[in-house]
Amino acid sequence: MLTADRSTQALPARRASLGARLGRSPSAFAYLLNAPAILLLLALVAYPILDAFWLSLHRYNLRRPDVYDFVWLQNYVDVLTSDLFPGSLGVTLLFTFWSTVGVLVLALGAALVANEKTPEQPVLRTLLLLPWAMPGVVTALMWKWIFHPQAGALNGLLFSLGLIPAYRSWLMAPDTSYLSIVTANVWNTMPFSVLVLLAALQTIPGELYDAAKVDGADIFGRFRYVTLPWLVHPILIVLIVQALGGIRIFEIIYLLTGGGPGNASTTLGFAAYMTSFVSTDVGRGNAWAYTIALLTFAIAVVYMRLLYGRGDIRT
Amino acid sequence: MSRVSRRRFVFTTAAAGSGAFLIACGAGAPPTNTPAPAKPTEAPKPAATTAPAATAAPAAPPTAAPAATSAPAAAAATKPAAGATPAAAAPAAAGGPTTTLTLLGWDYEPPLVKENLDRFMQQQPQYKVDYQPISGDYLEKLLTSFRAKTPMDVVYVRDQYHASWVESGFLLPLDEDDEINALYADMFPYNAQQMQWKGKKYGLPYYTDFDVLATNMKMINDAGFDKPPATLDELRKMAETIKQKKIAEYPIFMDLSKGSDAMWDYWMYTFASGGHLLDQEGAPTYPDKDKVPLAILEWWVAAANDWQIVNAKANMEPLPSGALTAIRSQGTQPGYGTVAFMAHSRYDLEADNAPERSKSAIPGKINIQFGLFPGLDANSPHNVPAWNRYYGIPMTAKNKKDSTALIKYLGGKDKTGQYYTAKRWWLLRALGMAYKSPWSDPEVQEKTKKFIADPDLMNKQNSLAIARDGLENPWWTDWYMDLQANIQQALLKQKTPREALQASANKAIQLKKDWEAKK
Repeated sequence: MLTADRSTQALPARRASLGARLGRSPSAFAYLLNAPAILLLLALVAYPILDAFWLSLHRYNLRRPDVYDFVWLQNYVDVLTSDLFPGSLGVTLLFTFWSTVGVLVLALGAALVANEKTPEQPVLRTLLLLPWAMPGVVTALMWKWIFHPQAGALNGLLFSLGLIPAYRSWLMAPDTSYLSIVTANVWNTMPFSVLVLLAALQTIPGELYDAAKVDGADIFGRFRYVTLPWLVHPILIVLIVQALGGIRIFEIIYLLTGGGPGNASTTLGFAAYMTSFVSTDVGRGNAWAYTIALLTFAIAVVYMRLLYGRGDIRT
Repeated sequence: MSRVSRRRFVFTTAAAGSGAFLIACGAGAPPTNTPAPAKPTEAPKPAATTAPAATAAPAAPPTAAPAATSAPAAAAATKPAAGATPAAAAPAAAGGPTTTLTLLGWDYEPPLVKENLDRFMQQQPQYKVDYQPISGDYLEKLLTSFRAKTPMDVVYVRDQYHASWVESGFLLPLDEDDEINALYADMFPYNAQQMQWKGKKYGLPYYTDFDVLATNMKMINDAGFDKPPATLDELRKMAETIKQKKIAEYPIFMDLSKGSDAMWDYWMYTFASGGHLLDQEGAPTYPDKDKVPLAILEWWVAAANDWQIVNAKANMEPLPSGALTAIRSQGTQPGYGTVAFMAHSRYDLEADNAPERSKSAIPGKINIQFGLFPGLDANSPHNVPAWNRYYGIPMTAKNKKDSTALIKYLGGKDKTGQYYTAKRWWLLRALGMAYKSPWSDPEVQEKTKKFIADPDLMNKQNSLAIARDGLENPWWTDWYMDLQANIQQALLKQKTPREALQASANKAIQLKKDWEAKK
């Protein structure tokens, strides 16, 4: 029988040394076993991220592909000083804010309803999850037809109820464009938040509600003093997920409004897409993308600090 | 049996994996029957493989099933073509092609392309064509291949890419070929001009087309008019009458959406009235130097807001399901569309008038017709924006002569002397031909008359086609998208037409200046 020691002795000095190190160090051995996955991740994730950053430091427009100049941070300066940046930043932040608020309010309400033990509970929970099962593109196309100016279901409903005098455009009218895209986004992203909040609701001990009742708390009091404190942590998670998703929003804008009317619904993500794939300015497009990444990172840090401050996350 | 330790197992596996990896990396490309590339100094030999029409075997008709089922073509496949050089004919006699040519193109109708390439390989059996249709991001894929110096023999080129690809040294000039020079003499001026750059020729046409104002004749007849509008005043009058008679609520459809290939209507209305947006140097001509763009935008704003004959907000929405629905959907009665007027590609007229594809079509009649694109006044030149797609030869082509043989077949004449491929696309899919002479072909005329009421009018409009301004500028898309955003704002009355165009002009000047400063 070969033992580890004997095999090591049989090897040349250098290999024996490496083998011995691997044998003695569990972490080195673990790294070795994970090396294929790590290499794959480096090749498929890390390399493109670094390459995109490298491209963002170059002037590289596919309409003049022979020009490939290193321009330091000029693309970032161009992005930050462009006419489009302040507007698209404002649109993005506003979209993120209203989407987050909308999702939070509706998801909380839906989770509270779904938490009630009623015969309809299983069906209700399934229905609440349905939008989540649909890809974002499908959702956007569905809403496009709902909002269709000539054949849309929304127009049909409101017109038949006598609430509007004639069919109208919802997506390209300045007064309703914003509300329309926020509605579509809230509908699509709400189920995840419902799941998170529902899971948290189910962990609240029933004794706390009983005690609150004994203390004379009404339904609002029980919500204020029992439910809400237990939901702070999941609400923060919902806020993080929704905020980061809102900043990166693309497909709903792309399919529903194309960034219009004018640039009224052009978000940062859509501007990055337009720069990279329509203007084919790959260098500046990557600068847009990194700007979004930095913004997302900053917001994530703020949220994490909030969580740290509450003692919900420990290092 | 001895036990294998964990360590030994890991080493053995890693060694085996590394060995396999090295072997895989070291493996050369699969052997091909492609000959060594020609010497760079070798001059192209014009017309070496093209036989005079009189000596060639008869060709299969362009609309026939794949050439393999065609007797004359099949016969041609079994023997060297009449005009083939002995060197080219010998390998064919030996039973197989000697040269593989790679053709890259976007994925429009790949089965039809393959059928046509089969016929080429039968006519010229020394060649085998490896056709690679590319779905999705054609530009990105091609640029990556150009930069990586990937061998390619023939590629499709769009007019938007032409200048940058030539300037970047990606395409071979073809001026030394007398046969190609002769083909250029038979092209419409726009097409011949579009494939040139600084006096050199870079390709042969795949197809070309231009936009027309499609008009639903039943709708305008019922409104009391007998022919399509010749001026914008007539267009307005017809549209308002149609609206008053409740034939259609918004009689005119315009593509007012944003996108690099959207809002062509602004080019159409401007060109038809003799206007331009950018001059030869790429400077904006509007709003004052050339007053047509402003007049057109003012007309649009009034049409959308005052006359209510265009549903501007609805027409601004992106149209993933196709912009042609409006003219082809049934309106208030059979033969009516939901709109009466819509600018679109000429080749779409065929489907407009096909009852199986259009609910506004009337069997046995050409209900969707067009006139010369209406302008601001009766003396307008009626120009329309056109586009051109062509076959080019990349610098990485293995052998220019072999690639030239393929583009001559696809973009010029086949071995029988016919414009076989161009004619075939017209007959099968109504894609326009860049050459003048095949339009007088009886088969072409017969097909044309089936869906275009007046072929002479079509030829006249064809001769008035011009390229969009400034496509060669690298900042073109940035400018165009900004122009679209400004036009949308004017249509919503967030800006006046003048403010919108002035803002766009300022943007164009800034973009031009920025790019020049970076040179």
